[in-house]
Amino acid sequence: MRNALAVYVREIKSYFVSPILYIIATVFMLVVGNSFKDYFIRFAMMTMQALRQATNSGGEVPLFNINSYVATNMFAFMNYMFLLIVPLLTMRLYAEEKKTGTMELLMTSPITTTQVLIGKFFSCLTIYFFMMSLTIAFVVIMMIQSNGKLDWGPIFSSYLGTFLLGSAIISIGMFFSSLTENQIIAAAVSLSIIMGLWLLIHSARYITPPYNDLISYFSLSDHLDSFTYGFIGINHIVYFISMTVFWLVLTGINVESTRWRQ
Amino acid sequence: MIEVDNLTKYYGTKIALDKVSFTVRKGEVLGFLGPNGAGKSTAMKIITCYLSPTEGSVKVDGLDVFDDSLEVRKRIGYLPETPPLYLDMTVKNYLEFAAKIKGVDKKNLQESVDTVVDKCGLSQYYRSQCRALSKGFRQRVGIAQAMVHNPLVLILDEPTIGLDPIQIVEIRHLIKSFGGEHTVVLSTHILPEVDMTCERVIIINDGTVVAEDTTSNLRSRLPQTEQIYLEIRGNSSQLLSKLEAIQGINSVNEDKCSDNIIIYEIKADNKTDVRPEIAKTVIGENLELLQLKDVSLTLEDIFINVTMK
Ligand SMILES: Nc1ncnc2c1ncn2[C@@H]1O[C@H](COP(=O)(O)OP(=O)(O)OP(=O)(O)O)[C@@H](O)[C@H]1O
Ligand SMILES: [Mg+2]
Repeated sequence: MRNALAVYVREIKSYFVSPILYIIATVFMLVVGNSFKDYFIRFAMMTMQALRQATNSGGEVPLFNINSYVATNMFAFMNYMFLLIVPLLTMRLYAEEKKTGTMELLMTSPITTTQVLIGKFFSCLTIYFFMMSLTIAFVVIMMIQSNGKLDWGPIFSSYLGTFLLGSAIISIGMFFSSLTENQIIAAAVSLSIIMGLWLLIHSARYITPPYNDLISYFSLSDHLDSFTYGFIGINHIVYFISMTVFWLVLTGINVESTRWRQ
Repeated sequence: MIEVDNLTKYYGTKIALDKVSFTVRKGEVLGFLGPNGAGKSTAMKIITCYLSPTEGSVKVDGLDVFDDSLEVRKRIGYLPETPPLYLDMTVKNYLEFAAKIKGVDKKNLQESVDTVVDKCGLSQYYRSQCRALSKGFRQRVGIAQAMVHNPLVLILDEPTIGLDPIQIVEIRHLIKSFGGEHTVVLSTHILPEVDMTCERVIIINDGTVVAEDTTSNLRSRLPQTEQIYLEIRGNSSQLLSKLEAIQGINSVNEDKCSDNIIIYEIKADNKTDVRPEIAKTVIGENLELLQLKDVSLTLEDIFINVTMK
């Protein structure tokens, strides 16, 4: 535990001293913020128009839900951004240590591969959580705009979904980082695999039953939808956690096996 | 302390170590000698649990590197070929991290770090980033990292590479001072280093042990001839034949160096000291005797002798 904590702290510090995290976080906020602005303005114009029409015709003012018009879109966009960003966060985790030779320090110290793995995984998950939390700013804006009529259920479940997605794709990124000492290759391969798993659902419709269900079961995106609508399905949570564990175990096996594979 | 038994390592189909066996006693400083690609680093990586052997076994302090890997690793300090530094950390943070993962407990942490910083002469760079250190200082941090948990066994892969002459002397003293209490294995190409620091030498070549003994024993193993270096000034056509006639001299090699200075390389058997006789002959020929010295066999000769076979 103490060993894993030492690795965790070292990794977190390492993220914060390198400029890449700040660049990624800035770009992330700019892009998500910009899309939020678009959705938000569209929503504001729509409500205004409806209000005008209602006053002109004397009819009833229709109720637009800020959750479904802005929040849902924002979360979908944020999730999409994370698919692109996470490989950049995970690429260094093992590849860099292999390249600089510090892997030799870790592997000859009395610390297990699992402890290293846990330290690294949670450090990246923390960074992910930190970036995700930045978007609370947008939630606050929505809350103010809607005069407190914001529905908190879907907001909370959406964050939970994004977080679970993060843990799954971080573990995928870690695995591919452990396969190579080249960070660029690690990032590129992780991105392709993550995107592949995300888009898998689209290939399902070309496949005959019952295999199409199987294919769509493995698709990341298929498990995220319900979270955005405010449902927390245990089966979806189980999916993300098993996905995480699967890739982490694979990473552990791969790292440990480098001892005899060379 | 270290027992290596029939150790074999293949990289793919390439054999790097072929049935290597040796033991290192507690408190001994052992030199690991061999040309490039001999398998020194490979053997060290296996002893430190970084690699698994293809065949054979290694025991450290009675524990098998495969079955009791973690216990073995607690007892070993290892300096790899390239010092394993996190370039974005300060020396302070790095050594604290190393101490933590090597199981130094919290209350001894600061003291352990301070001790190695002191021993390796790092206090001046204590708060610098590792990235900012020169090669030699990175090497020192690497050595400090290996010693931070006060391990029973120190495995150092070319520890003095990249250090300046003064530092080399200091580090050698440091390594020597480790002997007795700790067991040290160091690999090197620098032969005088072995002479100065190690009690025993293992020479490996092409993955096999070709010699294993104390340095003085290795010397006496070689053919018993002595080399004498003679330098004179003057002109003499007869000196060469007169030298060759001296009892005990086997061969003389004449080398006209520059105007008037002649160098002779003389091989003699070591039963009689032929030097007084040589001096007399030179004086008798009315030549100026500039240098006359015994060039005894160095470790270089031993090294070349055993690795060229
Ligand atoms: N990872 C590897 N994959 C394949 N072959 C390797 C690997 N590492 C070392 N070798 C080969 O194994 C042999 C022994 O290498 P090793 O690094 O142990 O030599 P060394 O004695 O340390 O040499 P040097 O004095 O140059 O450091 C060499 O022929 C080398 O080419
Ligand atoms: Mg080597």
